[in-house]
Amino acid sequence: MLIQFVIFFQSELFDPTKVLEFAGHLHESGDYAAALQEYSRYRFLSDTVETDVQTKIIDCMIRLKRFDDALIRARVTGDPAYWQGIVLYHAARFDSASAFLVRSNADHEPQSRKFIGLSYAGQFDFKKMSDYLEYSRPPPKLKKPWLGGLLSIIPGAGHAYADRLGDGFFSFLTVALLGVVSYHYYQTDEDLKFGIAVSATALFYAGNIYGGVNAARNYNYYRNSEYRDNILDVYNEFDY
Amino acid sequence: MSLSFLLSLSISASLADSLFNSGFYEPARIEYAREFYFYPELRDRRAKRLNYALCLHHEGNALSYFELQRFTIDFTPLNKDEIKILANKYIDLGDSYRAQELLSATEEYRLLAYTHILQHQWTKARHILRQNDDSVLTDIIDRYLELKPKNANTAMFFSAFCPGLGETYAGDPKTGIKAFLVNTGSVLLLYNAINKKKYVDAGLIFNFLFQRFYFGSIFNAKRLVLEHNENLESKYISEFAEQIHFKH
Repeated sequence: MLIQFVIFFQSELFDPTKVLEFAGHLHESGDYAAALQEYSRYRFLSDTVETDVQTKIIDCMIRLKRFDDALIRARVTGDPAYWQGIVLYHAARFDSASAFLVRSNADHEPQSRKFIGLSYAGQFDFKKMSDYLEYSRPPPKLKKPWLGGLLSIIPGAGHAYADRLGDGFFSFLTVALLGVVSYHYYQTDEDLKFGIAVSATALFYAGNIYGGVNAARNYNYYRNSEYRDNILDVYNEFDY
Repeated sequence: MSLSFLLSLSISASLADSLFNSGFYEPARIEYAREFYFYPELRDRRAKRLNYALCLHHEGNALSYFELQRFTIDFTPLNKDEIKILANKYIDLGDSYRAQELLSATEEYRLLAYTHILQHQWTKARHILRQNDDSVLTDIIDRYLELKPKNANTAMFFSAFCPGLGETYAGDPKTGIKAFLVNTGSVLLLYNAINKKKYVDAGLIFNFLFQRFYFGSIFNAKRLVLEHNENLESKYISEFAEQIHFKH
């Protein structure tokens, strides 16, 4: 008797329309795991599933980073190429994403172009990105890693070139100090100590060159990431 | 039976409550959220709101603290049971100050003393327990206070005077012996280099060996004392928590 009352008054538990409404509420409030459960429940309870639900399920899975499950779902949508492309984009598999997105249906064309552009942005290929997305700010000016390495012939100059003056100074100081010590032992004919000191100098000198290359690479990565984040502020990657 | 009676009967025996009472906190949380969405007036029911907050807490959801605070604001004045539950949850979430605030006007003196201990206020906790003639818990505090924690500055001074002595004072003689040996070795090397007027060698030994070992020993002594004191305090806090049946 009591259970009958509960079921009678808690009709929202089994009414597909209400289940869908609640799932939408959970999705909007950012509770994607619970929303996913409710959407699945709606699919189970309802005879006819609204087309929007499938994409909402994919969106929940993307946000929960369940990319493999999302790909399986994407394959049974009306436009599998488009949705697989979207999932692969979020999984940071940009090449594959672009390959799928170019094959999407005509009605998804503007969105496909957006995500192809974003995929190129994800690979920091902003020149190709500009063929698909309009973005007024110029791309960042990058440093040349080979030049960073070449400049490091003068210890610390490679770091300074990559805007890391502190690291450059420290690198110069280390190599210079070891060099002076090596020279001192060379002058005093202390062969063993000279050998150790010169080996240490060579090691730190090589490290300084590698560091110069790396500093330029890191500089480029940070500038590119910053630029891509600015693009994502304009083009919402969750607006399918 | 009137309709309102049936409605209240149904709501009081809702699926969310059943799930909560059976310990299924995650589905219970979703069912409470459903109830609040379809029947917003249920947000005024203190039992449901408290259960919802507790579900979030059991799930380890970051929103639980926020929900507990909202419950406190929306339903003040709180009853004794609610205060006890909330204080326990606040302690569990690491906010002993808020728990203390709630408990200060109640008879839950044991939990109140515990919040003082968590804030390292052992004498205050002892005072509360003595006022309530709780000799068992007072005894734990007395035993802790009798120990007297070691002084970090003393340990640092000892190590500055004789490397390794501070570590030994902190209760770690093995590290003390190691520190003494490496410092003695580096001093001998330094002395030898200066004696032979090899000042570059002496500079290298000083920079790369001696100063590292010497200052390392001083800071190690401080770290070991702090660790020792912390471990000792944790042991007595755990004993106290066990005595009042508090489980994190």
